[in-house]
Amino acid sequence: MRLLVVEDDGELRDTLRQALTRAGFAVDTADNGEDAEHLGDTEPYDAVVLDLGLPRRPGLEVLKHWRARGNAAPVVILTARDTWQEKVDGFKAGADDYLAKPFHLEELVARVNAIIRRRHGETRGALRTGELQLDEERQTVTHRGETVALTGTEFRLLRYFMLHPGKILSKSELTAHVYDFDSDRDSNVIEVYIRRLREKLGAELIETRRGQGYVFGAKR
Amino acid sequence: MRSIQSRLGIGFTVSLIAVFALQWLVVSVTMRNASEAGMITHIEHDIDNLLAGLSFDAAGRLQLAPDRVEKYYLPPFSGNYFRVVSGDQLLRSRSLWDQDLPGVALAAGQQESRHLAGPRSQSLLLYARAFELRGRPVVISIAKDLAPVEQEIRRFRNRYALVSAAALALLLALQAWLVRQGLRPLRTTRAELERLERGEIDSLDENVPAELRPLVKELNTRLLAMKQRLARSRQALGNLAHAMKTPLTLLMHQAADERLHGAPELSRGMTAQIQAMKQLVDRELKRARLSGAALPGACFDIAAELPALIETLRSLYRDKELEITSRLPPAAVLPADREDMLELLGNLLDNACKWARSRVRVEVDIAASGITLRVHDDGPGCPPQDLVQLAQRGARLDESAPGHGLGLAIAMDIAASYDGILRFGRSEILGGFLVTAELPSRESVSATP
Repeated sequence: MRLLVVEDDGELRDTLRQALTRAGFAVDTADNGEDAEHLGDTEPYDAVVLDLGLPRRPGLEVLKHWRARGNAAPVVILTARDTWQEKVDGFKAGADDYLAKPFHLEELVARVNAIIRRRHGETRGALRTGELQLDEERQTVTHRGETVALTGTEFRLLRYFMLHPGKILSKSELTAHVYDFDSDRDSNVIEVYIRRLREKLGAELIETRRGQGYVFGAKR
Repeated sequence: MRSIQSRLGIGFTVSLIAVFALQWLVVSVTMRNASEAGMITHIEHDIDNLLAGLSFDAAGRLQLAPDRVEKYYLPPFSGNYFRVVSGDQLLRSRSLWDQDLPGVALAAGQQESRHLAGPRSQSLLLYARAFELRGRPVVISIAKDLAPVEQEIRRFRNRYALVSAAALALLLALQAWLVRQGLRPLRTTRAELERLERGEIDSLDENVPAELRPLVKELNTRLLAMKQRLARSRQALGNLAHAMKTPLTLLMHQAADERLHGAPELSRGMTAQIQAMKQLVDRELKRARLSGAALPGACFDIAAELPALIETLRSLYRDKELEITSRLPPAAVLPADREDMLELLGNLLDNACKWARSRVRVEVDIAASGITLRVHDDGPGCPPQDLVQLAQRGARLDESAPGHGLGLAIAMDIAASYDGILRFGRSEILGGFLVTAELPSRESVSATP
């Protein structure tokens, strides 16, 4: 799961990046509206945390531009002003959730998880597919009643698979959603992580489609 | 101060009446003088006629040829009299009967005219002239009744007064119309001011007569300055909030840092203080940002904005599956600031959504006296003994537990800034809590002393 965090305050940006990385996301950051808009247009983010008071281009305008160009990535807006006018304008512009400063980091992580799940049709509770149940807080997965620990990348990869069951996912798509912008993105590394997931959760879980990519949970 | 219309009207009426009265007087006097002059001409003709009929007989007695006497000198008191005196001889017209005209002492060639009271209380004009006839002095006096002439003059004066009155009425009507036409731009501007008050326009039309333009321009300048000042101060407050909120967020994150897990009390204490600061900043910023009823030209299209607000609340409370219904009048544009009204409705609806089990209803009524907003919910409501305390909480919120009724307190501030109030009670419709916001219109506020 890849996130874009847009916040102009450097210290807060770092705290957010750390907290969201800890929560199992690949995180890119931007500190102004123009860069944010460009990143959002070019990278396939699974969610965006967007501050409204941004230099160079207001957050609301960035969001409107994305929506006008058909970018439907779920967006949580962060704002200091916390007025109803801003909330209404934010939701009108296409925001999915709203968080007023100051906020707890746990609250932000919970909101981000919620908008991603909602986008994939899961409205509540833990992410669950067949015999698998993903615990987003502890970054573990329960498989046939047995809790299995996951590394950060394994967790991100599995979550992406679980949110897109039965769909062919190419290596490059998986790479784009599992790694942040600055990571070394060698798509062959994905094969390594898929092998590890198969080792932990059973080989039949992820099917390889030669020349196309992978399909999660196709057997069920 | 009397209206310009009535002042102009009174001035014009007084001067018109004075002009007409003077004219009437002059015309009456001239008319009378002309009539009397005509009468004297007539008398002189009669005198010439009588003189031609006068002679002295051989005994020196004065004789008057009867065929020289006009018929109207014959009937008694006919209003036409003559008297001829020569020495101690006296001839009188038959019409004088047993009366006489006063004697006049005149030398030959002289003449005299005067008014006098005649028989049967007639008002007479007497004209006398002295001659010398065959070496003897003769004075002929003729008096005629003025009544027919005066009657004629009176009739003329009445007719003249009638025509004058009609002309006066016509001129006054014309003047009233002209003044109203002349003052029409004032009325247009006043109507525009009313529209400004209702928020339908945000400045006055400057296409007005030259006399009015400086006033309208000045007003527009003031309006713009006020609007800009409000926008600037809102901007500044927003910036302040922004500037403070980010450090507060960081502080909050530091208070929750793992390194403080060994000292949970320290962490809890810091978090509580940060929360308190957040609430104080929130409340004071919101209070300072309220534009209230101060700014004319503000306009809130509730019919367009309420659905978006309800949609926002549905998104914020999407886990609750609330049914939010609304009832609006067809033309629902409120003369109020958009941010204020969204803040008021947002806080009331947020409170209702928080407590509601499944249903929330908002009702808007607009009357001449003001706006009434009602927000119902089907939640637990509020016991009557707590309603009073709730109504006072706004003022004492700063000391009260955080997170309770902050939204309602802000809503109370907003209502107060519009000279309105919030009422709390039980919803008859949904059975839960009911908040009623009553915002009087500006007209009804300025009408109450």
